[in-house]
Amino acid sequence: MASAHRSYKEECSFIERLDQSSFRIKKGFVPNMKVEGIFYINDHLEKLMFDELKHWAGTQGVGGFLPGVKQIANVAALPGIVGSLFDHIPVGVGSKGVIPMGAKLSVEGYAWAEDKEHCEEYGRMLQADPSKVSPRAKKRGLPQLGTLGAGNHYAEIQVVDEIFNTHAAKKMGVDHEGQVCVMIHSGSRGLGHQVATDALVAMEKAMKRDKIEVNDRQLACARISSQEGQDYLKGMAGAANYAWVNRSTMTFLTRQAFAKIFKSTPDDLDMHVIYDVSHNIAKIEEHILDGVQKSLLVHRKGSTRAFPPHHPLIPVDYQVSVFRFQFDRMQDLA
Amino acid sequence: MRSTFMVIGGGIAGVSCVEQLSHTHPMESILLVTASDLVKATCNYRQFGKTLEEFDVEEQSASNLFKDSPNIVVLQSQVVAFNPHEHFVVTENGEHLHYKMLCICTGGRPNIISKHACVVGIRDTESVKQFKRKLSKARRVVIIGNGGIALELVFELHGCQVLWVIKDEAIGNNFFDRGAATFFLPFLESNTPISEEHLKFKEKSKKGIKYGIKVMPATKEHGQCFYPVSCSLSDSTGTVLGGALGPDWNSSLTFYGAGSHEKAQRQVHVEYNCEVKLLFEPQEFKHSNKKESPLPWNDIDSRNQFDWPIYVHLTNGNIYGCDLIVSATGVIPNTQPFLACASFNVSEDGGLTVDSKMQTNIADVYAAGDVCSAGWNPAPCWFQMRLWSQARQMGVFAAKCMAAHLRNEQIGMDFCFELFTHVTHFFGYKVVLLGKFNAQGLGKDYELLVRCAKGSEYIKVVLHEGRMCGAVLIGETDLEETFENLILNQIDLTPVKEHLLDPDIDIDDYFD
Repeated sequence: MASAHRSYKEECSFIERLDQSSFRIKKGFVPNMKVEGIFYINDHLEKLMFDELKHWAGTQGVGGFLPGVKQIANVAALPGIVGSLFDHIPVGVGSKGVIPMGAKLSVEGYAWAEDKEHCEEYGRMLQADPSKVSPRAKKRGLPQLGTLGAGNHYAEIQVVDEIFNTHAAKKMGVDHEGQVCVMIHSGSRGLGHQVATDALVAMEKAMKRDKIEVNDRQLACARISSQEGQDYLKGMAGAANYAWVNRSTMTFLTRQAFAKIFKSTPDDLDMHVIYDVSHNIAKIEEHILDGVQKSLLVHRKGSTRAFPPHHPLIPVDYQVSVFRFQFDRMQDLA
Repeated sequence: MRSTFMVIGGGIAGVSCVEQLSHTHPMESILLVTASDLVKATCNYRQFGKTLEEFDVEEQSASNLFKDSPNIVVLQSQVVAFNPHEHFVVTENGEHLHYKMLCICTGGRPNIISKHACVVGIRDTESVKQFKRKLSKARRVVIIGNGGIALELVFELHGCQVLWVIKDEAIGNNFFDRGAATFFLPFLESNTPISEEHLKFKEKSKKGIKYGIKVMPATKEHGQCFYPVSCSLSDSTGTVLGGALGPDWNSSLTFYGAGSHEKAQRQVHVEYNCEVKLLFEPQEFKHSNKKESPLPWNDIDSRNQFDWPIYVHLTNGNIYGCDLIVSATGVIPNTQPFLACASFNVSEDGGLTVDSKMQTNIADVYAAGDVCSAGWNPAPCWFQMRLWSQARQMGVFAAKCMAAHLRNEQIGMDFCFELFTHVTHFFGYKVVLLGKFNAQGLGKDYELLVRCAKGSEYIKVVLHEGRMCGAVLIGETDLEETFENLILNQIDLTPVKEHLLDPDIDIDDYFD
């Protein structure tokens, strides 16, 4: 951080409340901000965000994790970033003609035919290119297929406490309180880690070559059109596909387990997939920016896309519903 | 008899090798030569991370284990000679067994300090039985060695005095540094009767701790215990040795000495930085005019001054009498009769040197498990340690290499050799070892991060140039996968190292 040290109060002068649930981070909060940052909070998160900043300002900004607001601002300082995205309701990509492959082929006989309808992207990203996934990544991922992993990954048996939108919930097969659901949080495992590690190495070189400078050394990036950028997107898509197959495998195992315990079949137990979505992923999407429709590469970290009713990317049988999950803990699956 | 694949030795490496071969080549003939029908099978295999795994070992009859695989023939015999040029081995009955490809999985034999009748080496089921028989009358036992078996034995032994002789300055030196050893030291001073302590552990073990310690009468036969029994070659004295004990070798038994079972307590005295210099017979001791050294828990005018069947003289000058000496100082690779029959490349530790395809320098001869020594250039965070986990990995990988060889295909190293990992349990705690957990080979060029909560967890991270290269996790830390990824990814952790072990930070979320 090149800028002179500021007091907590001075830091706060860059942050402005927009409404009850959001704040704006103004340019100048960190150097080179191309756009302003916006963050969304509730009371609890608001306190956390500002406590972090206060603590950080108190330690003269030496060591430790960067506070969230600084992380947001550093991302807003990346080259090629665009702003005011979420002032508009996003519109979707047109339907590209759905060719079921990837996930479907991989889990033939294990997944139900309709499972893929309830997966983001029908359970596969078509731009995946296996040649952009290193042999080391494949080796690392192979023995882990069908495994949950430790850390923050989990498989939970959950009970519905409260239904907020009866109509939408019913569409998704959640029709009564006390209903049992299973949530699986797992992703691309070691394969994804290795794809990211490989990309970081490549991007560090690309950043030197293209003279890209960032505020936070932990942020690596490359131009989307560069070889490194394209390779990463293809490799990442491969990792996302691995994650879908991995979760499908665990869905299969979960169905088997329930069928065995309840001496029934997964069909009779109505164990359909509600939805399967990634939460750490970059995708090319169409959005309205300053009144013009543009193709943007949207990175989501710990979040997922929400669609308005009638959006073509909402599964047919979920149409008419506003597609947004309202769990205490955000459904996060990548 | 002719077979495509021949595996000698029914320990973890051998059985894993046969299973893998049969899995990929169900139509090829596979011969397993084992001295006993009882072999080791791994079960309850659990994977924690990419390379981290834990499994139980179960004793099974070989014919039963492979009854559904008609291509596998199990031959109960010992190999006494070997002809590498004509591709056959000779059994004790003089039978010639021909192979296309051979995998030697003959394990190791205990490195026993002396052949005295009071000295026991614990390595296999036979030696455990022998040990139990001798132990039931023992008042004082001397344990020599600082490896996994010694550690577990010290924890499990009660009702008799235990004198633990280690050549290092901290217990469990093969696995821990001094800090981790300190974490476990209170157990050696425990005054709680063992039966109560075990109950406590039972309650504590929520997350599927496999270390299910059951208090069993000392006389109970091991019928339902998981004793890995298997075969291998005879040692130099001609007695048949079983394969190495599996990870759960003591999980279903408690060792009692001559003391009362109900109130049995652990009574351990550790002699650091020394080895056994001499053993004295009672007569020799009497004539030597030497005196027994005092032990902390004995009265000065301890009776029975001269009635021990054997006395140990340590390099620090102390002399103690005892009923039994357990020699748990590691293993020597069991390379006979192969070494005598062919010019194998042998490593410094006595193992058959194998390359990155588990192949020895002799054509079509592979080796896996304790008998072999890794001769390849290892990945930065992997090294060989003669553990059951590596025996299994090597057995499986040797099978893959033999299969690839048969099909004339190339094969790269398995990912499990990218990172040293081991899961075990000591003193009732889950212990995970990752990478260069003791900063092996780093000299003084490393940094340690430590977090310790007395009695519940101990975490140590080894950083080298800001990157994680090893870790020790004791207790239910749930950090193993995150750390495994951090080691494999070699991310520069310099900016976050101050907070890496902060219990209030969800580090697994941060690196999700």
